[in-house]
Amino acid sequence: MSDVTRTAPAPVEPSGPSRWNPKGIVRGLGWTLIGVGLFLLGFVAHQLFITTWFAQQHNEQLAAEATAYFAEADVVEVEYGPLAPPPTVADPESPTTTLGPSAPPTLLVEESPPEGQPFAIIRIPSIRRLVDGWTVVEGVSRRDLRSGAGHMPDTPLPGQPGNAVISGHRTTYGAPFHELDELEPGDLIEVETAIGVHTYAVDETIIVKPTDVWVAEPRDGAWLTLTTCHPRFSSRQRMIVFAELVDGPNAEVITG
Amino acid sequence: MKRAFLSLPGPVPVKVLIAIAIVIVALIVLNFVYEWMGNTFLDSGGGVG
Repeated sequence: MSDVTRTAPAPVEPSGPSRWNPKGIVRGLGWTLIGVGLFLLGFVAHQLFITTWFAQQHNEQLAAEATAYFAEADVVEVEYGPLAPPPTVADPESPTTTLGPSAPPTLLVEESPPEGQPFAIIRIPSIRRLVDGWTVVEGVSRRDLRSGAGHMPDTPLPGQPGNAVISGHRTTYGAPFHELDELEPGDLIEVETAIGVHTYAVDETIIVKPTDVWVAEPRDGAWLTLTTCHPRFSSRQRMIVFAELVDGPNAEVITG
Repeated sequence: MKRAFLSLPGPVPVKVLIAIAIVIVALIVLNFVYEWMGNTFLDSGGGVG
């Protein structure tokens, strides 16, 4: 008897059509591409149609809420003097600080709306989809901007001194600012609030980076700044429209 | 598709309910994914900062 070590035969790799069949690979690749295509098609349909339908449905409801808010919001008259120091600053040398000229004019001021509250309607007669108006809600979070344009908190409300900033979608969710690039200097923008209708005239349009927050900084007089994505179908840049208050309940008091 | 449906547990009515639940969850997840993609690449809403 000789010691013969028997080794088991090496397992044979399956070489049948189920493993490295080129047809199978092509078929798998084809189904993958079909899946990716359907995914992207769904994305386009979702962004262009579903979000717009959602926004339009909601905006009608928000417009009704904004109109109801006009009647409910507290509006008060305050003395206003553009050159007077802020009333909260204590000045020990002149304790009787007057706000503005000897007979100070009064400014209509409304309370700040809570986050998400529809509180204004913006109308731009020269832009077709904004002729009838689009509701403005307080806040610029994703949720706020789904159904309306959004007023940036910490900036003045429309019709007040300073720089009121309103942002809006350009491609999706109803795209209220889709045609903002068509605005030319002198075009009018109306913003209706609880105080009344404030009319602004377009001054200039610029393109900036999304991080250029200086566009929201305070300005002398009363300004409205509209911001939206640029170019269309991209959030790479921002289109900024500056407009100055020319008419409305507070226009004469602020602009003198 | 049919094989996947048949592999679901329970009798056919239960399979149908499970399938509907899976489809609803998938649509909700897909909606979130689409919203994220849209906000990131297509239109973030126009805010600055």
